Amino acid sequence: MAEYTEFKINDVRKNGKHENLISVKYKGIVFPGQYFIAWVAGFGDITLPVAFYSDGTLGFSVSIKREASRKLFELRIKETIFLRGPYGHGFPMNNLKHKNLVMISENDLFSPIFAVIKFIELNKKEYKKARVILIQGEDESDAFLDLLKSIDGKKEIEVIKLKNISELKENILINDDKDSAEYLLSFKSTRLKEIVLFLKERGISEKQILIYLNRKIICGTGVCGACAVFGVHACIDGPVFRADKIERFFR
Amino acid sequence: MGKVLKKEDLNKFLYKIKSSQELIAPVTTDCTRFENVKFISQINLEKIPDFSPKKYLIPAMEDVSFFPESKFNLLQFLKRQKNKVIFGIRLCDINAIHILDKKLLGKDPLYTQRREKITIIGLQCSKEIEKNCFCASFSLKNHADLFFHDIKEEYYIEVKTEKGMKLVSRLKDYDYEADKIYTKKRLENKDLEKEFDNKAWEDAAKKCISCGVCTNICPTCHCFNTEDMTDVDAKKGKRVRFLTSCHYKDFWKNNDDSLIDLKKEDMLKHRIYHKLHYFKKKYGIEMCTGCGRCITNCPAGIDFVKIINSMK
Repeated sequence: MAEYTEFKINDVRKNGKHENLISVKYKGIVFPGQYFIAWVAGFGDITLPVAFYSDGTLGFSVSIKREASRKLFELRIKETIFLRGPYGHGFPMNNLKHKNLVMISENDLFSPIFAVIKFIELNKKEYKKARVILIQGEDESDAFLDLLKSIDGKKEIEVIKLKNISELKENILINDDKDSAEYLLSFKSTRLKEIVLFLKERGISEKQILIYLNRKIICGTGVCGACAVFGVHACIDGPVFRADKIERFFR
Repeated sequence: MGKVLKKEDLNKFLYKIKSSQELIAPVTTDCTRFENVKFISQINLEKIPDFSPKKYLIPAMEDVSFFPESKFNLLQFLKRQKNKVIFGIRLCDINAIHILDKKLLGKDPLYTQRREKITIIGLQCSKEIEKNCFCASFSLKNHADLFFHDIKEEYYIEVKTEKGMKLVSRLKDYDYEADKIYTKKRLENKDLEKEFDNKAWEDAAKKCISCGVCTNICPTCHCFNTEDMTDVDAKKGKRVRFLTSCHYKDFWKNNDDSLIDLKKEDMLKHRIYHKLHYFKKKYGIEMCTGCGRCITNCPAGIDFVKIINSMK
């Protein structure tokens, strides 16, 4: 349990009706897939996956889910936020270089994937094609889609929008490079099994699948044990895992 | 080479400790548990304590910080901590503290500061031990500062650390070869990796009522959660941390408050595999010390030693 650092909110951007992108000035090394823990006095902690980090600006997506996140959602420019982090292992961006990437995520948990896309945008030369599949319910906002449109390097980053996980078809997979492509997933745990099975049935090995595990995290340092699952701690061993490391999750 | 203390001098020895620091030892009231000793005569060394002294290292619930004043000064509560001697700890509980040290010492400031102020004086179990003890299944080591052996009219004292030596330096030197503990109950050595899908887990889990007694009473279970509590005016409040259990559904929450879809069987396996497999893979020792309290106190009568031993 580390101390929190006080940050001033640098920018608040509306990202749909119930979601804001907030940013603070931050100096340090942060990778996509890592997370911070925000403290809302009186309401507790919230785990915030990094949504982007560039030019010393660190961004998070904040959506209203419960009282604590509502408080964060209501924060405005120049107001204070208490953060600790970054924590955990993010996506292994070095290992993903020069590989085709397929990123599949649901709208609610798009932040870590968005951070990968922003990272690729900044380091375009080192990455090959990226296909982004965003699964978005009918009543969910197009906010992330709008943000993706603004990304420089559209040729390399192809975006597909699906309404439901059942719409996933063979053609979303990258067939020309099937054995070396990497599949990045960010889903609720209840849906993970379904999507991993879909990929495995199509010959994708568990070693090609990287998962952002959205487990509740308390301390972030591996001490409290509250995020343990099947022998790993989401907070320090993850939250990004190769599927074979957490294969018991998908049985 | 160790030291020797006449039994008639034990009270004097303990009284001397008590005069300079807190003395914690097994006391029998409705049950036998470690308590802050007020009178030496309260101490009961005959019975293996029903509870471990875990609460002196990890309280079931504790304040972590007040806000907004403190801005999360975690250590403000620890300045008041006194030096403590825990006397009469059995080998299983000593090893439990060693396991907690491996996991938490230097990483959790609250645990670390408490632990550094504790001196451990162990006590060898007599030959008649509890029916569910199975500590002989593990290669437990003596991590106490001092360790007492009952040798009829006297106690032979193994001196394990400098901290311990300070307490017994004036006693006579003595040499004694201590017996090993024998337990009738034994956990067979099985390759648990291969037994993950064994049906025995499912059958046992059907009886589990998710009460969490096993984890609460376990000397090594330490998973905790935190919560902010505010005053009525919602302007001031405090953060508390409290022990939780992997047998509670709430433990399996995702970040968005949804629950991981786990069966009771998975929760039971999580506890047992954490104790006997995952922890060992990471730290080289099991997280179980064979105290058997989880078996004795389980209201559903789940005995994981029997479950594992029955696997073929």
